[in-house]
Amino acid sequence: MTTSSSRLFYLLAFLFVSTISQSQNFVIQAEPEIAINIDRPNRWSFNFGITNRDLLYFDKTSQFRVNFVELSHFTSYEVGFYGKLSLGLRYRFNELFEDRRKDEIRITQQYSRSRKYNALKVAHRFRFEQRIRELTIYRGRYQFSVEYPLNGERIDRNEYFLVMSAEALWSFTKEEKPELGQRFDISLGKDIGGGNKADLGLQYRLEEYNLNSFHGLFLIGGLTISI
Amino acid sequence: MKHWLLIIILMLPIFASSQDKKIEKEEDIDREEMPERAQEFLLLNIPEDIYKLRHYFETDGEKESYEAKFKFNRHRFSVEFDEDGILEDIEVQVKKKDLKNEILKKIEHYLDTKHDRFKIEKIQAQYLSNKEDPELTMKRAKKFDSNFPDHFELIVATKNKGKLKKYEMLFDAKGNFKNEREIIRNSYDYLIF
Repeated sequence: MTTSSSRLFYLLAFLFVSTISQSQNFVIQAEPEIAINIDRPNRWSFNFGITNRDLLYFDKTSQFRVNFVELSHFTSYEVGFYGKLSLGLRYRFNELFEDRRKDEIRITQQYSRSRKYNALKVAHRFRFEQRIRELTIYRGRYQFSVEYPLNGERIDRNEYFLVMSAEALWSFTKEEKPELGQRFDISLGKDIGGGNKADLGLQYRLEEYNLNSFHGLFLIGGLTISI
Repeated sequence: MKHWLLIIILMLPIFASSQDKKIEKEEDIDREEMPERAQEFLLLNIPEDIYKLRHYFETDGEKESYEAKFKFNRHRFSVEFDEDGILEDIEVQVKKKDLKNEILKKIEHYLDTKHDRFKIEKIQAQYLSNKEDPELTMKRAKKFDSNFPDHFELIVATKNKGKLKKYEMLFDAKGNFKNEREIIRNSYDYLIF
């Protein structure tokens, strides 16, 4: 890379954030994550993650407030040539930061499939989640994502890559009307050696667009360590 | 606003770090960075109606090579040169249906006897240039639909007792197995886990 591509990415991201943040009812939050991935030589793999969400900008005011800290675990089993079945468990610590919000346990069932077509890697991810909190929310999600090396046809050590994704969400409970949401991500990643990767990107969320829609921007990024 | 700008700045060192010397490398280059001999060959021999032409430099730490990739007649061509710009081989990506039925059957029969399950992900017809005029190699490759290649190079995903492995396999023009090399999988699939 292409330092020039990297600079262009940061410049575009900055311009996008500056422009969009001028609108009403707009929130900017950050969600950094550290994940450890253990890939066994058999068909099993395990993922452990820690993340938190911080409010950075709300009501046209810059601020900093931690919303939650979350621990997650996924156990995955390879199926077929390109697929994986996973079971995930998350615990979201809300009460530590806000008294009126209860902690949340989330159980996830997932099928995902990824395949490389020359330089382009394409992935599909289907999730069904049970968000257990004051009111249990059920959520179905589908994500389509692509990964593209920014130099050559494969991602070598110290090289950058681009990840883009779109995800549709459908949440429902017994008591309330279903909610629809849509998310778009763009991230710049770097292979920092040993299968470890760092990434930084933006996620745009359109929430409850069938009811009282609101939108937000997430600054996403983190470190993924492979063992 | 200052806070998220601060976070961006704090995360930038991650991207600037890891200055270790790389052993394997494959990178985009301009045509002018190819050895002169290779540039001349490409200028004189590649067809006019090609598209998506790109040039690459590749090294495994010891051997260096250059490659030009383009699409011609809806097929991907890879023209590989050594570090002095001498043509090594031309590979043309083909589909199963482009192979003669008896050759495909022979290859699939071999894979069937060696593996519980398999999936052919990619087939390239390989035209070597070691015994002939490089111009003739290009002529043969351009007429890949009517010419026998020297080899077929396959990327094959295999499953044995549920375990997934990928191989680069070489078969001769008649579909006889020659050799194979395991492709080490990237341990972490970034898009899914």
